[in-house]
Amino acid sequence: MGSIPLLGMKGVGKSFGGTRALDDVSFDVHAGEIHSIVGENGAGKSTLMKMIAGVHAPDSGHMEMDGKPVVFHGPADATRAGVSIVYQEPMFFPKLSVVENFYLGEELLTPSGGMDWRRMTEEAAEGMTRMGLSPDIVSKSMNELSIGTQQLTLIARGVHRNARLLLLDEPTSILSHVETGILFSMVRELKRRGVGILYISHRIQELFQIADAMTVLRDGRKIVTMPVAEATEASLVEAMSGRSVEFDNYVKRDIAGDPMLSVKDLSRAGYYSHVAFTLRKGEILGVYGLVGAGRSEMARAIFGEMPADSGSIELDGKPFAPASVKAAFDSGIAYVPEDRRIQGLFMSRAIRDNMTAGLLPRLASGRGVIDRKREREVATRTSERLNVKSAGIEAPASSLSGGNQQKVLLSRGILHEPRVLILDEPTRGIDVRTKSEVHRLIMELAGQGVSILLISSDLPEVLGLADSFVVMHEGRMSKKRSREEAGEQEILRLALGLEPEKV
Amino acid sequence: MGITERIRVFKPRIGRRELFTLFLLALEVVVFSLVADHFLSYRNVLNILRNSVDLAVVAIGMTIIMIICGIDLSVGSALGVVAILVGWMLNAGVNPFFIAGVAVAAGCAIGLVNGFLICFLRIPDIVATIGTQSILRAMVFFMLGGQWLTGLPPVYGFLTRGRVWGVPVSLLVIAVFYAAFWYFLTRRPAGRRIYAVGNGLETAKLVGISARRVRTLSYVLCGGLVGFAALLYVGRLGSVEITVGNDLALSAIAATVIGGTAVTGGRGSVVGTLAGVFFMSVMKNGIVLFGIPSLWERAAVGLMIVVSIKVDLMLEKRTLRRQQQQLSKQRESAWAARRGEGAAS
Repeated sequence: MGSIPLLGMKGVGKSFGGTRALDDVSFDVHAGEIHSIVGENGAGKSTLMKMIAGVHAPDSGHMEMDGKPVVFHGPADATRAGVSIVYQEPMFFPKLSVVENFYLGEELLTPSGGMDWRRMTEEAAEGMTRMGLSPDIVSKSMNELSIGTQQLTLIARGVHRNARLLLLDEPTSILSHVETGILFSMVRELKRRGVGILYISHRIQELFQIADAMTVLRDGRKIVTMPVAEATEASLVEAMSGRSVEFDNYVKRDIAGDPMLSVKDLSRAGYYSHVAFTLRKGEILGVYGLVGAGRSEMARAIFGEMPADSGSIELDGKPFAPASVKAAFDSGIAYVPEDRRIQGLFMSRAIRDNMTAGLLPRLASGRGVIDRKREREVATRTSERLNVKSAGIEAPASSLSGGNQQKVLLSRGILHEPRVLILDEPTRGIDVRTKSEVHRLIMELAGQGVSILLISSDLPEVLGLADSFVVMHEGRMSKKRSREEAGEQEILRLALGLEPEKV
Repeated sequence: MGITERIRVFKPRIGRRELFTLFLLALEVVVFSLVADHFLSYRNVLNILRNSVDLAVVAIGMTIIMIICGIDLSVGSALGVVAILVGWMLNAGVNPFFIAGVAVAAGCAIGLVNGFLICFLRIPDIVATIGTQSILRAMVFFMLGGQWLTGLPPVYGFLTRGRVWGVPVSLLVIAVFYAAFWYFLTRRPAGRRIYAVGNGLETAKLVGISARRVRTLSYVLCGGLVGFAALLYVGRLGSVEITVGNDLALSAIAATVIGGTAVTGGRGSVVGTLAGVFFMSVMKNGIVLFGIPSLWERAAVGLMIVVSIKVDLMLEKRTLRRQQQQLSKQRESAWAARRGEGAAS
């Protein structure tokens, strides 16, 4: 392909706060090429897509279309240049019709400047027909449609806008088998028409069916671009693996004794099925898997937030069925959620309040009045122990950096003195130094006998800290492997749903 | 093209929710006319119309604000301030058309302040408009100086009491405003973008709609409508009392939610709101007609707000739950299918 590429990424980079989401990424997409982007969660795929769609501007490097540099000042610029994107999380106007979802933002107008409903209906209906959907549904509002139909509708919209470059971010994750088939024939048709397609998916098998070339990202950097004919599952997994793992924080301990937490045959339809594992006292069990594999939902069953349909949990040898979060909490289970801002912290409240939020009954005197002095002591001590960098314990949580917010959140879990601590993505989006501090803290807690369920999609984190591993893929959990047994590539294969390598 | 011969062209139309409010209104009218003989008398109907005209205009503004998922509690005091300005200018003998222009402009300015506080300084809408409400109310007291404006020249009386070819002008005013805003909200791109923003700020941004601009302009539009409503108020009463617009925000919100505008934003129409306005006016009229102490009026309005919001939320929650169930079922079958396929190959 000596021709001028449709899209050229020339050493683009992007940082958010302290983290480098993309670093010096270059590759080309040609007209009529299906180019897939592969990488773990957090490898930078979505940031890359959003950059091409004009949502984020690169802070280094530049983009070219047809060999000429382009700068997008917003999604509208990208649309004008012929870039169309279908997001992984369906983004649409739920209470508006399919027609409006097709056209709002770039309406077709009558000569007098009104909405040209006739033309919009016609063209939206054509788009629906091309996706194998009934044209009648264009008048329905989006929230009346099934989830798969919604996604196909959004893809139809993306295709429809005379797109020259179509970005698909995990389009099949909520599609049924039949719908996936429709999507693939659509994508091949577009390819014939000379549209360039950038395709993100975790489904490696899918990529081998449909892609022409693959670019592997890791930690925001491009590892390799290869034609699909030269790629194998093994070479792909190899390119995705090989991230540097910090083993320094790991402390070898003697983990023996009875299981602290034992989960048997736990299922919830559509989230996880037949999950089973045991967690011993003082053990760190890494739960690795891609986003959407059912890890957090499984943890929420243990924490009493979203009960399982069937299966059993034993805590310290006794049957355990938490009816509520409070019940789980009182039984000695603490959960540190994945989303600091929404699920975790009271952002406008002081660090002190955030730390002692779950502890107030124990800080209260006999008459139920909070002992302010003790509360301050506890907060100060914890703040020092975790090395929280702040203007003092009365500073609001919102004034802290992401890493220090995470420490405050962790300290709330720790102050509760749990027997089982569930950590959900404990270091996502925080800087390397703080990350290392958090890792040492996790190890210290395990050393004190706290059993830790470490849910993470950061493979080096899991490899560096956990005593043993389980991997989740599409709601199923692999059997437990010890630190010595598990290899990085094998874990990746399990998470991607590939057959284990035959030796 | 053949396709529109087979399928109906999509247009925003009057939906089931609006018809439901119209049905409620009809029910109310039937019941009241059975209980009170002179309820359906020409005089009384005219009276109801005349008394709802300023509320009807303000309720259009409130509908727009609630479609973008906002709220404006300052409309009552804003109407008060503009009405006093109008009264002063009437007394000074200013040209009535010029006064009308000033009234609408003053209303827009107040709306712009609200829009600025909410969209640029990011103050939550309820808090911001409680603030402006309170400030404007203080201005009403200050401007009136303890004395009502009474005996104003009846320049705008025509707007509420007049007749053109035997048709009450109050009815014409309502018809013109509602037709214009029905057209704007259902046929113009700017109107549909208001719905888009109410459906999802982030999604709107991603399709290139400036959510901030749309929201700010919505507050300006609401303010302008309030400014015009102040003219109607002065025309209807010929005076400005210290309590001007006290219950206006409450009534406008009630009319809007009874008319089917979602408190979660993104859905609603002026047709529903108009039915809501008349539902409220008929109820107020009935309370007077049946000799019920007017203290109960506010309680009834409050109750209706709460009930209609709860009903709407329940309906929305049902849709959401149904979808979640469907999603988990679909995921389950997709996983199963892939596992099956994997085993077969």
